[in-house]
Amino acid sequence: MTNEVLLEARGLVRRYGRHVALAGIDLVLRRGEVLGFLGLNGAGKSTTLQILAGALAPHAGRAAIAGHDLARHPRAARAALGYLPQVPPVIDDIRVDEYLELCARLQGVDRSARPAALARARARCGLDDVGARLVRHLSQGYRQRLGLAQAIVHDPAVLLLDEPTTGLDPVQIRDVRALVADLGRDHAVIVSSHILSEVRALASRVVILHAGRIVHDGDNRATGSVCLRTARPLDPAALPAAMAPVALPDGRWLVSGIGDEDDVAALASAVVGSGAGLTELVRDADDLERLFMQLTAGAAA
Amino acid sequence: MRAALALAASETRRLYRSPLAWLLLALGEGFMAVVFMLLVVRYLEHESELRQIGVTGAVLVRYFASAELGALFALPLVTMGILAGDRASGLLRFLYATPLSSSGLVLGKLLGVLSLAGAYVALAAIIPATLFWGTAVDPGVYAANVLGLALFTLLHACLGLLASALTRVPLAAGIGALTVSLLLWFADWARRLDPDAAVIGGWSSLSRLRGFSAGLVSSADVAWFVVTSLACLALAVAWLDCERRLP
Repeated sequence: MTNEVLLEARGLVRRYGRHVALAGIDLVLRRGEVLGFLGLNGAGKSTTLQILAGALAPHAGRAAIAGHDLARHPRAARAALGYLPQVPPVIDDIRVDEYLELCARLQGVDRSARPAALARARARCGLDDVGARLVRHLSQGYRQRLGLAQAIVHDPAVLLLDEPTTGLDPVQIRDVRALVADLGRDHAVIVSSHILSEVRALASRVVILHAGRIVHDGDNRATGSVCLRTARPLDPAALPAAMAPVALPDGRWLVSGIGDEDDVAALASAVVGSGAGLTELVRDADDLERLFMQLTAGAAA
Repeated sequence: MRAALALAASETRRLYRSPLAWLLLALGEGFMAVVFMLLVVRYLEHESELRQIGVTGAVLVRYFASAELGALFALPLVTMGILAGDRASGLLRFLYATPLSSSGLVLGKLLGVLSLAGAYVALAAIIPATLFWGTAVDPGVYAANVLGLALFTLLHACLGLLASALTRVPLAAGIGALTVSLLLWFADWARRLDPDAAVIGGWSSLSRLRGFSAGLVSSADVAWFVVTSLACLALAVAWLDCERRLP
């Protein structure tokens, strides 16, 4: 991940009549980040993405894509982003290849670069076999993939994906996750979802939106934790500095700040090295869920 | 401009892949053929009475009046979903998220509609061209009538596009466009009923077509059709621009 800021939003406000859908959203996204946008239905996720995509105007605030202000330089800003709305924006009466060609032309892809761009988007989204088919004859899963293909056909710096795995089967979901992970390496990606496991699998950073406000913005990996038990008393100072151990009443330790498998291995190694004797180590998979439920408890009640 | 042309090509494909376009063209051509045949038969039966106005007045002029009425009723069916349907399906919001400008969007949609409207005009113009074999049809009147039909079709395509830009319900757009089209057509009656209402009569598409029917191409009439069409397009662009830029 570099420090290059590809998306910046300040104070986004959007109302629908008296209902405040967004009450001041600030967001900065850098190249290499995959941001998981979590929230209950109606939390404002899709509204935020529509504003960032330039498809909806905010009542207040501003957004910039790849350094181009959306209000002052809308064409340059829109050319730098790919947007997959909740309902794939496909055209029923044309063929898959024609649709992708149209999207590439709308996004200003040069004639010479178009065949390669189309081939790449088709291959990445598994559409090679359906190029000649009418869009109206595609299944829901293929329509979703086509929506994803139009979002990446011009190789944008920023990708906004609103519930990209809706309607996909497990194999397709796995493929889309792999694609997003791949794209996340040198783009900035926002994936909106209300499915926790989806965000946990896809995102490097999690933003939780509730009632139009950001109530959590943190590293996805840092939200992980493990439970461990030792044969002898454990000295917390023996653990890596980024990890925060809390003693549980049943004698176990809850250690937060655990990201990937390397962190788990480092923790196990530190505990063993301290001489406390590691007897149990379990990854606490529900940490994000617990955080989400805690932050959105008002709505659930 | 390139993006607008890309959209126009896509719209043309969409239109011609839908059965509605072919049905309208087939019904339109069938209707025109029947009208033409009836006018020719009537002329042959009453040749002695109609000889004074000739084939040009008795067949050609009346035929084009029918073609214009056909366009008036058919075009709202074609244009009603062109933007309203896209708005309802979410496609318009997607187009807003592309670098395509609002004017490019309207131009692309218009060119798509005109690909079908142009086919209607061309098909309508072919049938009376057969009169050139064997009768003394005035080619100037014929050309003026074709131009009048083309301008009339352009105006109603733009009007339909504007109606479609204003709503998300295609049926409402269709009814709105048809209502305004009929008002423009019958505004001429205001002048007939009250000679002082000439200003209202001046807004009548029917009165504007009268010169073309007689073979007289007036620059004022041409300008009226072009300016009114451009005004409809400008309003559609402004509406979409407001929808896009304003909360």
